[in-house]
Amino acid sequence: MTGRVQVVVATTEGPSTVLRVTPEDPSLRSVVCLGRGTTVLPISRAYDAFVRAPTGVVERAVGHRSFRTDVSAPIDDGDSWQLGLYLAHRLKAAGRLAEDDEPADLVLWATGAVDGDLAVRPVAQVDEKLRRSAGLFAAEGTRMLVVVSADRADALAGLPAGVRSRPARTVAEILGELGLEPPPRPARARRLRWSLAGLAAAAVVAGAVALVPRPQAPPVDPTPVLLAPATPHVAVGPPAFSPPAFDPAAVGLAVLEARPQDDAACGGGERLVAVEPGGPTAPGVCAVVVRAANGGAAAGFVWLVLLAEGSFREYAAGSRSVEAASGPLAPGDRVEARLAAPSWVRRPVVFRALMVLADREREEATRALASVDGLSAGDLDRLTGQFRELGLDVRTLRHSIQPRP
Amino acid sequence: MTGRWNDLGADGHAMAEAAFVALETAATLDDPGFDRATPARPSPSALWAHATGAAPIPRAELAAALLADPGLRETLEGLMRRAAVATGPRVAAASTAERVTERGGDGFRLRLLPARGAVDQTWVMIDLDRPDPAPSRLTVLPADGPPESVALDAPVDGAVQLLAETASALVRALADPAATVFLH
Repeated sequence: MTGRVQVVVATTEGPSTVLRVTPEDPSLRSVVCLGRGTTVLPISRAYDAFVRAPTGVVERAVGHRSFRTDVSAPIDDGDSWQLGLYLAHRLKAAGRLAEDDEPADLVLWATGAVDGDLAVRPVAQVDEKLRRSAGLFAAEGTRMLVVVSADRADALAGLPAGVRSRPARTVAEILGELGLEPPPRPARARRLRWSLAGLAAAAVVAGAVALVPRPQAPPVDPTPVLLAPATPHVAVGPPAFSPPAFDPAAVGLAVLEARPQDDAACGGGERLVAVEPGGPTAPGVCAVVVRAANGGAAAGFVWLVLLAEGSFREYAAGSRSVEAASGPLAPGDRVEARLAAPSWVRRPVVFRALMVLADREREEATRALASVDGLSAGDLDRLTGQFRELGLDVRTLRHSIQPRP
Repeated sequence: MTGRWNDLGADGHAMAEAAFVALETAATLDDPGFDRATPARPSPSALWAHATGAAPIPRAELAAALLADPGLRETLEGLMRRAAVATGPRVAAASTAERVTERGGDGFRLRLLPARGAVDQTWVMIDLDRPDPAPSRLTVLPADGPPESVALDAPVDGAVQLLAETASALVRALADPAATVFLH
C-alpha cells in the first residue's frame, strides 16, 4: 500500500496515537513526550536505548540517533510500544507518517516488543488493550490494521468485521504490508558477507595458484596465498607464521566472595574466597568479584559487567549497584569487576555477571558499556542478546549471596 | 562550619542545623529592637533550609522578602553556593540584554538547545564532569526575582536533560547572564 499512515500504540488504558516524530539534536537522548508538551514519559530511557545504536534498532534503520516522539496519551511501562514506534519511525523516514492532524489513509494499531533481530515478541494484556480500543475500532470510515505478535493471533478473533488484522512474526512482514522497504541488514552482517566472499575469493586464488607450476623467479608479493594450504612443490619463500587465534573457550570466568578477615565487619581486612557460581554460601559477604582469566595462548579483549539485582537498589541512593571493567586480555592475564554487597540487606541478593569476549576491542561493545550506571537487569538482558547478535562470545552467570549475617 | 555541607553525614547535617537554630534564636531574643509586627525576613536557618532543599520557602514569600531586602539576595546566594554540589557563576556578556545559550560551572556545562519538536520549548542539557555526587536539583538565582528550581533526573552517560517552555521563568533565568546557577 501507499499513502499516509497514523500509528496507534495500544496500552491497557486505551489507544495512544503517535502525534509527531521529530529528529532532535544528536547530543540529546531520545524521549517520548505527552501531547507535544514538556512532560517526558517514563518509558523515555528505554525508548532511547531502543533507538540508539549499537543496542537500539531505530538508528540502524533511519541513520539518526536522537528523536522526540509525541504521543496523545501516556505510555507508562513495558515494551509493547516498541513495534508501534519502530513502524512510526520507518513511516516517518519514508515521508508517510500522518502527523499532528493530517488525514490518514490507514490507522495502524500495534502492540508488540521488537528484539535486536527485528522479530516481533509477544506482550501481555493484548485482550485488555483490544477491549480498551473498541471505540477506535468502531469508528466509521477508518481503514484499520491491527498488528500483534503471531503468538497472540488468538486475541484477534473478536475484532469487528471491518477491521483487518495481521499477526506477525517479524517487523519485515508488516513493513511489506505497508509497502516499505525491508529492514536494513546490520552493517556487521554486510561485513561478514563481504568477509566470507573475500575468503572464498582468496581460496579460489590460492587454489588456482596451488595448481600452477612454481615459477622460477620468487613471487613479488606472496603473502595472500602463503596462508592457504599449499602442496610442497608450490610453496614459495619462508614458511608463513600464523599466530595462534584467540580462543574464548580458554577464558575462565570465576566468582569470588570478599569476606571479612576473622569474621570481623566488612571494611577492615578482607579475604577473597572462590566459590561455585550459583552454589549456596554462608551469609556475611562484603563484595562479589568476577574474574576473567585467559588460559589460552593468544590475546583477546574482555568486557565484564557485574550487577546486583533486586528492589533494594531503590534504597541505595549513592551506592553503586553495577560495575564494569574491560581491557585487553593477554595470555595469563586477568580482568576483574568488583561490586560491594548492600550491607544492610539480610536476605539473598542475586548478582549477575556478563562476560563478553572478542579477539580485539569492538567499538560497539565498548560504547554500549561506556556508562553502565543505572543499568537494569532488563537492560542487561537486552545487551546480552545484542552482543550475541554481534557475534561476540557472551557468557552470563548468576550468584546469590546474603550480605548481612 | 568549615567543611562543605555535602561532605557532612546525616548526623553532621542535624548537628549543624540544630546549632544554627539555637544561635539564631538566642540572637533574636537578645535583640531589643525585635518587632514581632514587622513582616518577617526569612531567618538564616530558614534560608539555609531553603538552600539545602530541606524546607523550601514559599515562592511568593521569598520573592517579597528579596524585593524588600536587596541584601538578602547576597546572603541567599552565599548559602546556596555553600550547599551546592556545583556552581555556575554569572556570565560575562556584552550587555545584560544579551541572552546566553551556554554557561559553564565548576564541574558542569549547561546548554540551552531549541527543541526541534516544538518551537516554544527549550532543552536544558547539563554535562557533568564527574558522576558523583549526582545533582538532583537545578536552581537559578537571577539578578532580580526569586530563585527558580527544578528537580533533575539521574544522569545518563554523565548528562542530565530536561525539557521546558522557552517562556518559563526557569529558561529565562538560565539565559540571563547575570544569574547564578546551582546544582544541588
